[in-house]
Amino acid sequence: MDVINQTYLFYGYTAAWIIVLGFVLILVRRGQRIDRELSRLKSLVEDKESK
Amino acid sequence: MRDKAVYILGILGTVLMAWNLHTIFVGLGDEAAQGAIGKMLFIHVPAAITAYTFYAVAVVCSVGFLVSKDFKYDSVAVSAIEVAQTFTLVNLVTGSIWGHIIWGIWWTWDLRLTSQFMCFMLYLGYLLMRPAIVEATQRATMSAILAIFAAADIPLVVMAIRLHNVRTQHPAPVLETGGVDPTWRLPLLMGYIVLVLIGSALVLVRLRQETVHREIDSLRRELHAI
Repeated sequence: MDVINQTYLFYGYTAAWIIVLGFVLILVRRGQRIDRELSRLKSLVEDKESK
Repeated sequence: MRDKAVYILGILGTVLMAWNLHTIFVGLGDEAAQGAIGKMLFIHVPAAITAYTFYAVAVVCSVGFLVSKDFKYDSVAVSAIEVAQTFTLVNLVTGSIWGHIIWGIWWTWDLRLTSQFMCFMLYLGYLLMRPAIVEATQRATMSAILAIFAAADIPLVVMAIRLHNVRTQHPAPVLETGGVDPTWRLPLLMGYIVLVLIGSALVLVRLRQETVHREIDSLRRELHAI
């Protein structure tokens, strides 16, 4: 019983940190995407203004 | 300045978390009746209280937006709700794993569990609704109303195990009934502080993205105007 207890305790903590890390990864990827979009739009505006 | 705060909060949270996990797994003995699985309490309960803390921030900011129409409040609200959703999911998953060992079932539709699941689903609806509304003021207004409406579920979650006429599978609140060993109180409090620190760092990162989003929106409008 104690081995099962410890195994599931490990699963619980692992799941918790996987969820938090998953959210961090989503944040990082979203951040990269919107930074790319921002620089693309900035260069588009500069191009249009210079014409 | 904000980047510095993210690093400070993140590092402080990680160091305290390492110290707290050492205390929990090395310094404390197992719970007498439940054995090792009882230590799930140290992530399950702080995750729930941290989630409610960030939901409360979101509600205050939503009211702030409705009163002032300042988009900064909307940005803080959505950032806080995303972080709160993460911790609500942690709470639901760890509770389910604990229930599998102690109750022999992964899930039951009693008031406490169902109302917590409802809370998660209501705020998931909030996050799914936002991209569907294009106009910024309308999106922020609808989001603020939904955030305040969804918060009405939280008192039900809290009260679900305190109502005398409701039978629930969930244990009684151990902190208030004295059912927890005094040596367990500090690691529990520290668990909450750790998650609030890490959650605050994540809110700041998410907040920066909202600021960039607004900049992108204004650049798009500018492009249309040229």
